[in-house]
Amino acid sequence: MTASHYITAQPVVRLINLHKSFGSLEVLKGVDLEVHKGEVVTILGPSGSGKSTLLRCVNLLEKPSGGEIWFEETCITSHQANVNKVREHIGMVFQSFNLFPHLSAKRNIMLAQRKVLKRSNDEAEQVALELLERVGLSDRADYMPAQLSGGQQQRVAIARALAMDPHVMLFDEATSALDPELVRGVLDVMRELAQGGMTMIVVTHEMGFARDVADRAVFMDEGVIVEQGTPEAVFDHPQNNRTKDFLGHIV
Amino acid sequence: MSQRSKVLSLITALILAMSLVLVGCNGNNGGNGNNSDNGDAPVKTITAGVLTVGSDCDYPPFIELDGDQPAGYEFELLNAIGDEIGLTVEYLAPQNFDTILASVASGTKMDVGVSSFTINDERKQLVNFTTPYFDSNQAVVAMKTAPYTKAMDFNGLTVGAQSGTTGADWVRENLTNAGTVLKEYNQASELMAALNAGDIQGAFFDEPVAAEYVAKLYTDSQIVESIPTGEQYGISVSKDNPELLDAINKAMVTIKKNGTFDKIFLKYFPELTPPSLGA
Amino acid sequence: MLLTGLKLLLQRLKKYSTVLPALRTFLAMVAVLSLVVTFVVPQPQAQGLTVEKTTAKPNQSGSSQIIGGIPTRITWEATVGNDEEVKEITLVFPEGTALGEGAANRVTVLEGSTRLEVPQTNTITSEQTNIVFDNPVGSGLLIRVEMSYVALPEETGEYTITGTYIDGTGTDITLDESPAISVISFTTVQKIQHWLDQQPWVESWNSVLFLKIFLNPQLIVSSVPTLFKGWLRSLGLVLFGFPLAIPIGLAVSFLRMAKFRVVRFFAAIYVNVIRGTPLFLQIYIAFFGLPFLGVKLDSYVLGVLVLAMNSSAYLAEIFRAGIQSIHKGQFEASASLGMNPMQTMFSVILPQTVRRVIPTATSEFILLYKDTSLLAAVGVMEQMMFAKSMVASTGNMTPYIVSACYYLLVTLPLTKIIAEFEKKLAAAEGHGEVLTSKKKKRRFFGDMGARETLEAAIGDSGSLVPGENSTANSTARGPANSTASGPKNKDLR
Repeated sequence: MTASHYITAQPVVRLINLHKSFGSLEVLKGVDLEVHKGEVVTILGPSGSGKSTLLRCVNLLEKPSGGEIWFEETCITSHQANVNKVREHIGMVFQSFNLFPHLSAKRNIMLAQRKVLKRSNDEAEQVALELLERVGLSDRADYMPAQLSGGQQQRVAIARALAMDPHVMLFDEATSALDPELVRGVLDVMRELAQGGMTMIVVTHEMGFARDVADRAVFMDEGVIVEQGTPEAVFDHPQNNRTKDFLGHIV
Repeated sequence: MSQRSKVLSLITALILAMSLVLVGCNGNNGGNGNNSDNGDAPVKTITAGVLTVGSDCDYPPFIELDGDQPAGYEFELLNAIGDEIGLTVEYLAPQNFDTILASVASGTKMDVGVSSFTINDERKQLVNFTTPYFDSNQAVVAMKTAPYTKAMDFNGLTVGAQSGTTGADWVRENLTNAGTVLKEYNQASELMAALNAGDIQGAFFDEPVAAEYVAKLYTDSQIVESIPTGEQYGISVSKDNPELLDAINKAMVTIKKNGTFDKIFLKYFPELTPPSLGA
Repeated sequence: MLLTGLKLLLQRLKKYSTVLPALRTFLAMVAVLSLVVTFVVPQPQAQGLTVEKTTAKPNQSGSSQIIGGIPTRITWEATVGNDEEVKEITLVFPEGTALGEGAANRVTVLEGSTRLEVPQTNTITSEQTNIVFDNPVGSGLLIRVEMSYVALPEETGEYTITGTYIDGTGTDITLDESPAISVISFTTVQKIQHWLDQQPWVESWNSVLFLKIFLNPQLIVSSVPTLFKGWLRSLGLVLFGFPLAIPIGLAVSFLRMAKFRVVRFFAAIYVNVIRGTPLFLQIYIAFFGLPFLGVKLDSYVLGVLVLAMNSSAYLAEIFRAGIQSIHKGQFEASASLGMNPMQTMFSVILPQTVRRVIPTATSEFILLYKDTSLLAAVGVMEQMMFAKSMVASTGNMTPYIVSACYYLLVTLPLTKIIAEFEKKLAAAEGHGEVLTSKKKKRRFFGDMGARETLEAAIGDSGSLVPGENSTANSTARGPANSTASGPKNKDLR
């Protein structure tokens, strides 16, 4: 649980001097970040600080304007990189779930397994049912997304991402769209994942979760990382004024 | 003083205005008087003083559009008739040939229908016809390269005619072989276009119009055969308006007698003999 | 020969005989003289009157048949032989012939193609027609008799018109048998019509002008079966055309969203040119223009192709709107799972699009179905054409009304289905769908408005606003999510 165990290993995700602009608006102004195997990193920061954009750059939903992104041994910002191949191994969970509304929960989880991983129907189905059980929804396998609550939808979405056997999971404000009473179920699933050793990058406003589960907290503001460290360090002894300010508002 | 002169001038102005109106009325009366001078009872039309005409305006040399104005033999004939009766001749926008007679019959849209209507007994059940003003025949037109020599050669082929015409009737009645397909078009010009495009092998319509098209617009085609039918054109008038029919027939006699009619007729058909118009 | 020439001259001159009474007397003298000569000089034996043809006008619109018991017009033509004259003709109808109201003869005498004024008196009865010429008709002339409103016998059979004529010498001669006329008997429709003819309520119904012109019972009866054939043909046009338009439209919609600007440009031209010009014009160009390029197609096939091409442009925009209405989260979710654009399109986007475009596409189907009527103008036999020719031959609007009912037979149930589907869709996917039902209803009731509304819906779908919050407003499936903030998804381009 000390820093030593991940410094030696190769990072799963490594961002080098990452820049991203939308037109004239520069959202990321040079971000460096390494995430190691088994590490849970939460990214905190006020709205507009660039934390979601940072996350979306990791699996290239946003194309960086400058800098490099490495995923394991591959520089995925280079032209030769096979974007789809890389994305197979990077799971992502969205704020708005983005389940496929025309498919049942089970089929949502099976689709990419069949199309991308070329698994057989039976195998994909088995994986789907196992994962549904893991997120506590085995009884909802044949429900359509519209018949599920937001929290249930998000758990299906997590299962869908996990079905691809990702090397890293990205959570983009996964609980922000949920009613408060539904948040817990999702957070529990995420907590279990973290305890199971999944590498995770989590953008969240759930300070409790960040403090309890994360190995490292990263505080961003105005497109740069202002401060990072263990949750205890960042939350209890923030060094930077902007961090203090932000935490003061939140807590 | 000045107040009184103002009132006076106002009254003068009023009187002047009223007298102007009266003069205007007199003018109108004068016009009507002219009609009675001709010995005709005033003729009622849909719009008073106007002879509303429905025509397809696509049948040269009888009637066609020159720009947006009709022109041709029937146009000039109607003008002469209108002058005689004391009616201004006005045309509706070009009508579909096959709807004109029904419109005339209803008596609410147009006073007369003029589009080279062949007088026949079926049509006479629907409308009244004036004295015939032209003797016509049918003809069949084909491309010059086509091998046909007579109308019956088209028995069993795809042919065209204008919808609602005696030409279409002729095809139905005479080309009775199973393979015959009759395509009907709204306008004579569409019929010729279809022939030229190869959609139909032969086009059946009135001989004078066929001659005009073949000579001027579609020189790649020719009249294969004239089909003598001896049909006659009349102006169609609603059965509800026998006074108008009378007036037109009388006017036709008058313009025949005074030479106006022959002049118009010979302008368009110098090699034909003008009909008698019952004079 | 000389004699014939003289008589011809006489007949021409007769036209002007009223002008000069003196001339008239002179002519009368010549006429009498010539008659005397005719009587005295024996004629060489020849066929006096050769029957050229006997035909009857088909009396049921849309068919080429002559039905017995219903008035028709018989046309009889004969040529006077060389050196012959005809004074009187009697044509005998087959037994069982009846006369309709307004039955009349129309006698025309032609020299070549010139019509001659030949005074005559004629009578028509259900047995025969009799024509007596004031002056004998000379040799070489064509006599044409049209007998209108004559109803041939009701039984199926071949009927011939027999008859006699009296030649210049006063001899009564039997005519050659004329070609037979094929008559078929009453169909069920005619039987019903016949029955209706005799009903008093039909008579009083038809005494109201409006009802007679627009809702004539007899014509309703005959329109329904005749227009049914046209209805099938119209339906055929759209049932072949529309399915053909779907793949073309889908392909064009993909091209409209293609990565390459040039491809997008050409697809846009296709769509805008077709949607920006009237279908009527396109039909004219195809039907009258293509043959010049040596393209000869069956007009029905060409009709299907033109309709398919036209509809494909509208469908392309409907599909594009549908695809772009899919929330961009769907593209992102697919991409994050490693699916390529092709897999995303066919497994995720299109299945959702199909459900959303079914109402608009069905409206387009209805529009296209109604537009088949435009093909009547270029001679494609479809419903409008059948109705037009019925109206032309009857001078009555009833066939149009019946035709309207046939169109409604298709459009009304479809409208209902659209409404039901929309309701279901709204229930299944939550409210605030791309093309709201209000818009679609307006679409349906006005052609032009319809298509424009759709364009509005397609609109300039808002481009991606920078910043993380731009996407954050799209909560689960609230309205913001669904109002087609078009995902100009980079992965798709």
